[in-house]
Amino acid sequence: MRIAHTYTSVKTSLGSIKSWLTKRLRNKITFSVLLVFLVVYAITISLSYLQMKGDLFDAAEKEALSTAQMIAISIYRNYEIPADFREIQSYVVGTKRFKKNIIELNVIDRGLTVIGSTTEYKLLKKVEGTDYIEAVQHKKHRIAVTEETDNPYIRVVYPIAAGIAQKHIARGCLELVIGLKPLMNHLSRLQNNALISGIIIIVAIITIIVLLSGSITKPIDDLYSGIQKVDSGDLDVQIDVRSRDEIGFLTSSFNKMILSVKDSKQKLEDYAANLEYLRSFQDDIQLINASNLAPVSIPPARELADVANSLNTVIDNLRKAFERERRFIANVAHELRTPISELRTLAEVSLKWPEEMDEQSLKNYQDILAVVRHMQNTVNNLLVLSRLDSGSLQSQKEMFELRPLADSACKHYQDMAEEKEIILNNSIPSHCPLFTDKHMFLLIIDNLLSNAVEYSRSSSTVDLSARKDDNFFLFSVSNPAYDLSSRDLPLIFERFWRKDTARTSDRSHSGLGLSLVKSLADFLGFTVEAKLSLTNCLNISISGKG
Amino acid sequence: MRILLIEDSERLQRSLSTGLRKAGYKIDVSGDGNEGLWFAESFNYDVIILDLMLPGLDGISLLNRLRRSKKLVHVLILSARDTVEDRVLGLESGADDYLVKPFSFDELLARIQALIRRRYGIKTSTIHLGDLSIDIHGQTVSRSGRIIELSPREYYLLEFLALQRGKVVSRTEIEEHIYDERVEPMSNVVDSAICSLRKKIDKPGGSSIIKTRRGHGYIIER
Repeated sequence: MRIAHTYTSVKTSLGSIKSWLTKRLRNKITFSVLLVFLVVYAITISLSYLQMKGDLFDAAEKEALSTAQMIAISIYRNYEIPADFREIQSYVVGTKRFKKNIIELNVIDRGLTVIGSTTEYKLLKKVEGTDYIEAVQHKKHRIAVTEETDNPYIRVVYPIAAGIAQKHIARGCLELVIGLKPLMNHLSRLQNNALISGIIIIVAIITIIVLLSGSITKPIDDLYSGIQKVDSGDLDVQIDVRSRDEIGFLTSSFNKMILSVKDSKQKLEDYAANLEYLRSFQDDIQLINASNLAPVSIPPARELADVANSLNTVIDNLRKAFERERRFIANVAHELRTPISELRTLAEVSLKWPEEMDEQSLKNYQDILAVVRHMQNTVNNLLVLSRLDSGSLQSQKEMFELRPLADSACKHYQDMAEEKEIILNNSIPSHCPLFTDKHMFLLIIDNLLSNAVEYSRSSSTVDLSARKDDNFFLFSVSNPAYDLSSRDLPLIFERFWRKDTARTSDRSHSGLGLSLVKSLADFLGFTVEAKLSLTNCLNISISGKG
Repeated sequence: MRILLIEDSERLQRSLSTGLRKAGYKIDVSGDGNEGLWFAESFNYDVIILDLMLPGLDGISLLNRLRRSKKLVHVLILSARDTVEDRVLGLESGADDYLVKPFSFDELLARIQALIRRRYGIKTSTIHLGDLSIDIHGQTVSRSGRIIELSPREYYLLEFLALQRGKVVSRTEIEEHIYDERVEPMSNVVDSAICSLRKKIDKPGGSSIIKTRRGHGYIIER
């Protein structure tokens, strides 16, 4: 939580720093620098342009005036007013210096009549009288610049007094128009140059500012995009530290923070994985029982792996112990069969010819035979149990009637029952077909009956009943069991469990019967249930589909 | 009837041979697989009772070798191995019956008798010779419902001849099947037994059921 909080605040402040830098620094600074530059540049350029223009115009005026003077002097030198302007023109034109700019040269006499003229000056206006009058009468030159038209020019009206040997002094003036186009071209080139250089400078300034501000904002941009990546879940972000300033410090702190976040995240994930494993570990452990001793899977975390490994060792030992026990039981049972068979044959052969024995021996052999039968029964039960445990037993299902099977079992215990005056009441309906392993079911009935007859008091009744609806059957054996309490019910299916060893010490019951019933019923897929009625009548029922 | 018992437990050997001998069978006993095979191949037995776990040669191998030598003797396996696989293996190896230890002696007797009946092709347990009937199961002989008292040896002699009706049975065969090693060879015990048997079962004055074929032996004709 603390990390998340810190992270959020860092992210927020970085975001605002970044937006401040981009908006304020880049945009505003760029704008104001450009504005200042533009104003200064425009003023400077405009002033110098105007200055230069004025100077140039002044120079042009002076030049025009001096040209007019020169022309006037050359006219004086001829001492006459040229009759034909062509002559003048020859002067004028002959002087290359003049020709370049002079558009028109008019020589005007005292009577303001144009007495000589060049032909180039076509676009000019009509001669305006005041200027000439001024020039002729007051002997004063006039000079004016006209800029408005496409062809700007300087017009000089210059008073002349031309005459030959002063006999014919003719006062007049000459009008000189000099085109300013070259000058204006020059000026406009100057203007263009100023503009171009201005643009170049502006571009240069923008570039410099962008680069400069970029170098300032780049680390923050990096930092911010790093945060965005982190936001989208990428924790492998590490940002280059470009400078040793505050931003650099911030960046390296950010890197450290991300590393620690990544570390914490990894730890959390490991923790979660371990939790996940713990759950499956728990499931595995819950599945462990005598019939399932598969080792549990080893988790990645070392601490848990140690636990799992030692658990697996225990399981392995347990499995080996179970295996040993199973083998032991099977071996013991098997090894016991030969001596039992020896004993039984000995007793049976002796009893077959009883006339050769005295009464005491006869009774002894009968006892031996009874003990042998019990031993054989126990060993058989042990063998069936151990085979059920090891899974080597296979069922062979067939269809058979329950009633005759129960009858044959009852017949087997008839002698024992009569001895104790116990009535075996078989109330199974004559038609009650079952589909299961006949031999195993006989073993079930046999053991239930044996148990019932063994533990019933004299003069009681053992009831066998069954019913079948569709596929479902229920078979039960019930007998009075005064010694049993409801606390004992869960225990009666335990192997070798007996209510009271002292009471049964003289009996030939091993305590395996009900355990075998339970195992066989489980194996055949039936349900075994033991109930104790209010009158303390024990009812053991087998039910299921069959 | 002559029975070979191949069983390595001496106690079982003792009580079984005692019981079977008392029941009227002639018993040879062997506790070793190789010796048992030699017995089985050397003599004609009616039934061989065979244990599976034997020293020398195990029961199944013994059975296989016996069947390879074309001996048609009936074999009953007596074993502590009780699984279906073991029984199937035993029967497939050529055994005629399989009894699991511990067993009931009465059941063993009944199975032996059944095998003997099979050997001589009889379905029921009673053989009728004119008005004489022999109950193999009850081991009694009666004429017209009246029981004739016979000693066990006399009974087995009659049964042996009756089972092979129409066939001449030599003295040696009778000796082999009815009497065990304790009988002295070359004695006239068979002749005297036939004589006393004839006295008991034949009608006074009539011809005897058991005919004598000189130089061959005795026959009960069909």
